[in-house]
Amino acid sequence: MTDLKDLLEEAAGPEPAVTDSDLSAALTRGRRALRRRRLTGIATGAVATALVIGVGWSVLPTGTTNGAPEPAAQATKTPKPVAKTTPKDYRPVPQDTRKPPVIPADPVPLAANSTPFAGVAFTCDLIPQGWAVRRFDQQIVLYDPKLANPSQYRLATYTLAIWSEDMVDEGHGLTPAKYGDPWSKLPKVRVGKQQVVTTGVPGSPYGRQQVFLRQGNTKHLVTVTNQAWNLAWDMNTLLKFAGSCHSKK
Amino acid sequence: MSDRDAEYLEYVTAHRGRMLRTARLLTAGDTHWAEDLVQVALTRLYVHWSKVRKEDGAAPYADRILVNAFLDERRRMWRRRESTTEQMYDAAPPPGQDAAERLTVLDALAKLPRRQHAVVVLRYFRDFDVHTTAELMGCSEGTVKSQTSRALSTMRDLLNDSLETMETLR
Repeated sequence: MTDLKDLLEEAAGPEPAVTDSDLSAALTRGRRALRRRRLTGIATGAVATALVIGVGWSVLPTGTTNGAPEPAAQATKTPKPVAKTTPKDYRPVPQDTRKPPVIPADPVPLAANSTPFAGVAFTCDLIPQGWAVRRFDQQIVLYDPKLANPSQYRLATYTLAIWSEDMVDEGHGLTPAKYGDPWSKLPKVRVGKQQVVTTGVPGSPYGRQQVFLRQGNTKHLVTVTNQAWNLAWDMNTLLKFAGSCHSKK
Repeated sequence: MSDRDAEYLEYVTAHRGRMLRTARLLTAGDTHWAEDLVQVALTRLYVHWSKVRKEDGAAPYADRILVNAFLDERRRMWRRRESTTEQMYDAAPPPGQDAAERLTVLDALAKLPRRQHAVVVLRYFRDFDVHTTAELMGCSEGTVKSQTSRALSTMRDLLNDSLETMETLR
C-alpha cells in the first residue's frame, strides 16, 4: 500500500535552495512592511487621540469647561482600548466550495478588438473571440457572456481583468506594487515593443497568469490578469493578447 | 545589518525551503500562489520578529500564518501574486519523479475542502500531532480528528481510483 507521507513528500517536490535574492527580497519586504506598520500605528494613534479628545470635550457639560485640564487628562487615558482592538488577524473565513468552469479542449481564439475600452486609460487591440467587456471602476473585465449561470462557479475563475497601475520608487528604483525588487532587476521578456514581467504557471489548471506591461520607459504599467479557466490559454496566448494591450495615445 | 535582521535571515535560510514545500501542497501545485503564501508568512514574521522569537517561537508562528493565509479564501479574488524566481516558466515537474503520480496527488488534494486539505498537509506531510494541528488551525482537536477522517476517506478513494487508472494505462 502506498504511504500517504511518501506521496506527499514526492508531490511537494525537492526543497529549493535559498538564493541571495530570496533573502534580500524577504528582508526588503519585511522592512517595508514594518515601516508601513509603524507609520500606520503612529497615524492611528494620533487620529484616535484626537478623536477621543474631541469627543470628550464635546460631551462635557458646559459648566465644567472652565476646568480645561480635566478632559485633557481623560483623553490621554482613553486610547488604550483602541490599541487593544487592533485586529488579531488571520481568522479563517467560510470557504468557497464551488468548482471552477470546465477547461475547454480548444483554447478560445483571439479576435481583433475594434472598440477601444471606454472609461479607462488603456485598451487592447485583441480580445478573446465572443467575449464581452465590462468596466468595473478603473478595471476592465472580460468574460464569456454565454457562460451559463456564472454564480455556480468559484469566484475569480472565469474572468480576465486588465488595469493600469504605476510603479513606485522608494529609493531602489521604480518597483511594481507586487514586487520587492525594482523593475530593473525583475526577469523580463519582450512582447512587441513592450517589456513584460510575467507570473503564473503556463498551462496549469490551478494558477492564474499575470502579465505586467511597462509602457515605454515610464512608471506606468498595464496589468493583465487571466483567471479564466474557460479560456484554456497557455502563457504564449496570454502574452500575445497582453502584447496588444497598451495605454491610449 | 542589525541583530534582528541577521537572526531573521538565518531563520529564512533554514526554513524557507520547508515552508515552500508545505505551501506547494497547500496550493495543490500552484507554485506562484505557494510563493505568495511563503512571502506573506515571512513578511509578517519579520514584522513580529521581536515578539515571536521570545514567545511561541518563529516556526509555529510562520506555520500558523501560512495555513491561515491559505484558508483565507476570501482574499483569493484580490490577492496579488509575485514571484522571486529567476526563470519565467517553472511548470516543469521536478526531475526524477513520476509526474503523473505527483499530479494525481496534487489533484486529489485540490479536490478536498480547504480545511481537510490543510489537515492532511499538516498531519501527514509535516507530521504534526492533533494538538499542534488544532492550534495552528485555530480549531478544536475534535474538529481536526473528524476532518482528518473525512479527508483520508476521500483521499483514499481519489488516489486508489487514479492510481489504478494510471496502472492500467501503462
